[in-house]
Amino acid sequence: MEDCEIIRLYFERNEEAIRKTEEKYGAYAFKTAENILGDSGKAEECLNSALLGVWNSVPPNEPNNLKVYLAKISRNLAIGMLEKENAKKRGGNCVFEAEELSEFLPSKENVEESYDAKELGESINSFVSKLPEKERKIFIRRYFFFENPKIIGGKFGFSENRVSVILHRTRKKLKKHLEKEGFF
Amino acid sequence: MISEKEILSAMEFIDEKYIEESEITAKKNFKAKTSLVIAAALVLLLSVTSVAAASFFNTVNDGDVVFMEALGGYSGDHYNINFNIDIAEDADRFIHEYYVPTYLEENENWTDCGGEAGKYYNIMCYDNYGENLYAIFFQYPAWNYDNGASIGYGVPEGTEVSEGVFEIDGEELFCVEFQPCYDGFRGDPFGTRVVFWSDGYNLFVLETRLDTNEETVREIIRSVEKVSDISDYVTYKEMP
Repeated sequence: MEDCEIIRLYFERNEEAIRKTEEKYGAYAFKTAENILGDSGKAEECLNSALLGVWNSVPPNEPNNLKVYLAKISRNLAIGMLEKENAKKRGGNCVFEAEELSEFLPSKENVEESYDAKELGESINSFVSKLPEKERKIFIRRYFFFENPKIIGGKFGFSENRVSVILHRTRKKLKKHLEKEGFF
Repeated sequence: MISEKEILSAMEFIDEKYIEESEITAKKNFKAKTSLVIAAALVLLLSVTSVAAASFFNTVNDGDVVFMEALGGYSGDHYNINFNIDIAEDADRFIHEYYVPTYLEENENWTDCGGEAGKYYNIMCYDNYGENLYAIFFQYPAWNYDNGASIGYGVPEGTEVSEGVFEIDGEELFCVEFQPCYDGFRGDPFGTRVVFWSDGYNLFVLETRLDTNEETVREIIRSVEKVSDISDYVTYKEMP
């Protein structure tokens, strides 16, 4: 079924929409959550909540891309779930490795002001748009989908080390970009 | 100030087209690329001549981006050097008129390391940034051995050369290992061990004493992988 037809079902408040969404994009959203949580049980929980989230938000929203829409909700829920957990319980498989970024960014303790996420998102979006395609893809696989460098390397035909090097360089560029944009 | 969490949260606002785009992975045949490196290296090991090298470099297209970086480090008896060149012009001229003299001038430790007998260079070329990898090892100046043979990389005739896959922490790395290289260096009998490896992107060279045990070599290799992440060690140079 085409996305537009599924979305029409949401607008008609037809619960078949949820089933069709899960059928088509459930595995994708599940994987997105699992990458963050490192736990398939919790990822399943996230997926269910994400499907409910779509049900509750469409309408009024009318996503252009249902797949990404669901993945974003799933991602946000997974991050939220992770935050609630005790750090020790996050487990070795958890790939929420924000420490990579903290190389360049001050710790939360030093944060004196909070930036509007959307404003920051737009700046990062602008940064990402200027990256070479391959770097952009790798950056997104890492920081949107939380895939580890080894998995990314497998997808792009690169070694894990090469992916790490590319990410390192991209993070440095991001730092410069954010400095220029006044986020530092 | 901004926190890393805010960055990760802000990723939510990344344009959907980029998220979709990232799904389409430009999957390369890594094995083929690795084979190319191995094949190139083997060819060159067997017969590195200026003619062969020139012919080899002719595979690099004109107008490709020039890129050069050097990583270097010295720790005790161990040297590790990694430098890459993305050849844009005539490679032979680049190497002989620019690269080698520049590198010699700026890396005194390198000549110290090799002494009179041990100067060697490894060159890595990309026909585009990181897309295709070619490796060439050559020696400058050519070594002169008593047995008169300076074949391939410059390994004395009869030296056992092993090549193959070197595995570090589950990652396969192409490796060529020469030992011994030379036994007169520094007047000590230990000679040197030179290990080359590539992760498909960077080419690394490690020179150690022959009496360095394998575990130490592995430790060094791991550390070099980390060095490759330290951009402060990287210098970019313009093609003259």
